[in-house]
Amino acid sequence: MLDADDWVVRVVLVVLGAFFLIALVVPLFMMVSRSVQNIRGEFVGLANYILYFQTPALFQSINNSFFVAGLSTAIVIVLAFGYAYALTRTHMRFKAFFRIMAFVPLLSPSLLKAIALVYWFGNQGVFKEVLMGNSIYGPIGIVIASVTWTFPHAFLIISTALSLSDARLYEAAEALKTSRLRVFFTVTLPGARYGLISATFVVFILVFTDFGVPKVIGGNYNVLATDIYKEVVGQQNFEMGAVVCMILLIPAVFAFAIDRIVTRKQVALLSARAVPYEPKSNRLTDTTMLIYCAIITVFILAILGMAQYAALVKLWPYNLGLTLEHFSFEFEGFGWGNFYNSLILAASTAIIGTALVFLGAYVVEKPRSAFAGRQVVQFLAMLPLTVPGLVLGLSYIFFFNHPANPFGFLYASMAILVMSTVTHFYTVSHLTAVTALKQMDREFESVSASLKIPLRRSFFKVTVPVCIPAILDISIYLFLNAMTTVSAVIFLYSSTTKVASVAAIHMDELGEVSSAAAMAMLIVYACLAVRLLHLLATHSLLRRLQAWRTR
Amino acid sequence: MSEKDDSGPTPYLRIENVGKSFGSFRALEQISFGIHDGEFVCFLGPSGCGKTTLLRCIAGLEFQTDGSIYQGGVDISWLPPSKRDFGIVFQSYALFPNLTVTDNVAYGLINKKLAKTDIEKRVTDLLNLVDLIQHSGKYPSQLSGGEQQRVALVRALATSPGLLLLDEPLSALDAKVRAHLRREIRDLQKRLGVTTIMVTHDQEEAQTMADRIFVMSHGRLEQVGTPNEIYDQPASPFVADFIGVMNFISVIVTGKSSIRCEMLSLDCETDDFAVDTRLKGAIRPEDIVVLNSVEVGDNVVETVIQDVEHLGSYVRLYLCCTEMGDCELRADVTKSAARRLVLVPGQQARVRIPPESIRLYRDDG
Repeated sequence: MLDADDWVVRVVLVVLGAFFLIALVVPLFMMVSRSVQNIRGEFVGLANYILYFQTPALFQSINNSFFVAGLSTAIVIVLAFGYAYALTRTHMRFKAFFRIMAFVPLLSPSLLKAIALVYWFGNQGVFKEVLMGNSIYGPIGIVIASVTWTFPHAFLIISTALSLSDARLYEAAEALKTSRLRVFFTVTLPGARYGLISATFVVFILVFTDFGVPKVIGGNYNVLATDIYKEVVGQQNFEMGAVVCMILLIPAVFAFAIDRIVTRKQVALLSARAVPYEPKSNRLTDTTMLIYCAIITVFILAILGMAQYAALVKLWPYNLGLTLEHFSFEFEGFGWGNFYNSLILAASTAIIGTALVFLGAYVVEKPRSAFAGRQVVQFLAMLPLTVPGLVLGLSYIFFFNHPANPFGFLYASMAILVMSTVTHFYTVSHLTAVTALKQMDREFESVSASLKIPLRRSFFKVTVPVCIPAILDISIYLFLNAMTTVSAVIFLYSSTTKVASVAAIHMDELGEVSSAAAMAMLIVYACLAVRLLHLLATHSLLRRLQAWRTR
Repeated sequence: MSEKDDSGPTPYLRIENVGKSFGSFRALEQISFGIHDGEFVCFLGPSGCGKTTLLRCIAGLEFQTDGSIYQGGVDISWLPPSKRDFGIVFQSYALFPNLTVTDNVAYGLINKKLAKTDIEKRVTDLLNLVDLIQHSGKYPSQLSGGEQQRVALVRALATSPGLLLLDEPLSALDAKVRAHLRREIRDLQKRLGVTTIMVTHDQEEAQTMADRIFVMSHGRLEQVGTPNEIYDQPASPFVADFIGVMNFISVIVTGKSSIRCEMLSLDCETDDFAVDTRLKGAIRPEDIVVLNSVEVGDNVVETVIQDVEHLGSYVRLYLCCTEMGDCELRADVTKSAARRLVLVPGQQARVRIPPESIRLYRDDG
């Protein structure tokens, strides 16, 4: 009944299941149980939760988190929509350039935007007066920085939705002599509604659970993410940390569930036969949108540029001479080693993560037979997106520090950082792989079976080569995120495995802002270099394989 | 209705009481038949009749819920596809996009541990067989639909399988290419002598290519026979209607050799049907003879021409027959015959329905 192929698939499914168990399910479970225990490990029911809600200082953070997340989401969705509209629906010039600019914020950790904002608008900031007496530290800074770093995410989702439009709808509206404004509200906007909804929820989760920005620029404005950090690192109160984690988790799960429902509907929209829309040239619209995009680009570059400047300037604002001394990191516990750790982490995450994700997506998508295990793995693969990095990190502490855990040796090693990062960014990678695999002919595996070619052979001979672009995309996604992430690693590093992003946070904590900026800029350089390599690799690979891609 | 093939040597492929359920839906019911070595057989039927499901069960891509399958005397009912002996061509061809034509065709041969030169020779021979040798270095995306189909075909045949399965291989092609490829596939099959099963919903395809046709409907075998048998002696109203065009009239048996349709009496052998039985009468359009004003004969019916369709080599008349309760009859007249008659909408036409051309079926609702 079963042949060798079926057994290989089963084994892979079991291995993946085990991975998710160790890397996600059990740690989370332990965190839940810790939140209902006291410091001695005794079960105390909801006592910790009650204490939490009785401490105004603590649960005020819930309001704060919702506020900054909500406001940031509203702003960035509008901005990203305009930008995406300009790039997909107008005849604007330099589209390729502006498209690249939209993704610049992905190259740096979120804390870098916060640092740059301090230099622009802080107490000694260049444009301090713009804030009219308000401080950049607090909600204002959090919102501006959050808008900046979530912009690429919102833009990507919305522009994808907008570019999948049916020209026939516009032609029909035109034949009915509809005004351009009316077309916008009755055709364009509804057509992109699923993308807008999806982007809204995704951005909301991102800002709601972010740690780096509120840590650097939050000031006295407490949010849930910084509370967790304070409880765990500051107070060593792990139980309360677990409670706050649970509170952080709930809106994230909720928003994720809604996003899933919405995305499923959108898939139905896409399968209809549609002719792609070719925007017509309109002088006024094109010029206006060009200026709009230019303004946004200037802002993005100003943030990055100021960050670079901050890393180079001797002593802001007193000594404006440029120097490289901030790149020497001569402080106790810091150094270039942090940067190398980041590189190791990012490379390992990219390599191991891509292999795991692609293999996992393959056994979920491809085998003809319906193993029950496939649905389970599919479900588990979606889970990581709902779990904020801090929550994952804390649950790892609980799980791997537990005396009875045979995997305890992983704690405080690079391996646990890799595991945490791969898990944290698993879902989007998985979805990318699944999409690419779905586009391949369903019957390849059947043909291989009829020709007596084992699955593993056709996997390497056909599946992998055809999916190379997707594999490269997944690896760059994992690399960039591993380089820039803070929340997934801030609880799990050890003295020897501290990565650059964490080092930057700590240096900022100690007041060494220039060094923090410098360390963060190192991350940017590495990301930029790898991004360029990725572009070269994709370009040359596609050119070599172009023969069989052209139709 | 099923047909056990008991004559002659044991069939190469034997299906016994195969059934397939998807949850509560019964996709195949009590399918039994035999296919002889070297035969070209078509599974024919409308969408959803189960023909592709049956093919996939034979391939092992699905497993039947009940029944057994024997190939070459061996029970293959529960073997996975990799342990069965067949080649398959899908509607989408499923050619590996990143491999050249040569590599695609050689794909199954690599595993057989043949010498490189042997593989090369076999691939060259196969490509010559379908006249594609000049495209050997190209990629599938550089070939036309018909060329891709031929590559898929020789890839499936490369390993000399005992059974060749074709799942609607021609439906993605345009009419002219399809007609040409029908002949090519048939010629190739005859030359190689490989037992072949082709699934199709196109009855013209089945009629021109198959040695025997297996007509299916709602998961059951309706009839098995040669193209002529299926056409001339359809076993049920479904087969009668599905193959070609058929006129149906409601009749009542009035005697041993007579029936009545509404107000009109017709001569027709009624075999064992009892008097007063309600039956369906089926007549092929080409069997109806259009008479001129002076010709006489049996079963002459007065009709009015509703519409005239010119279909190239013949003319199809849509006739309204008042005597038979205003029922519509379609009659096909050859071009040459049509020239001798006046066939204009609104005109009256006298037609003759030969008694031997009326087939009678039970009226099951």
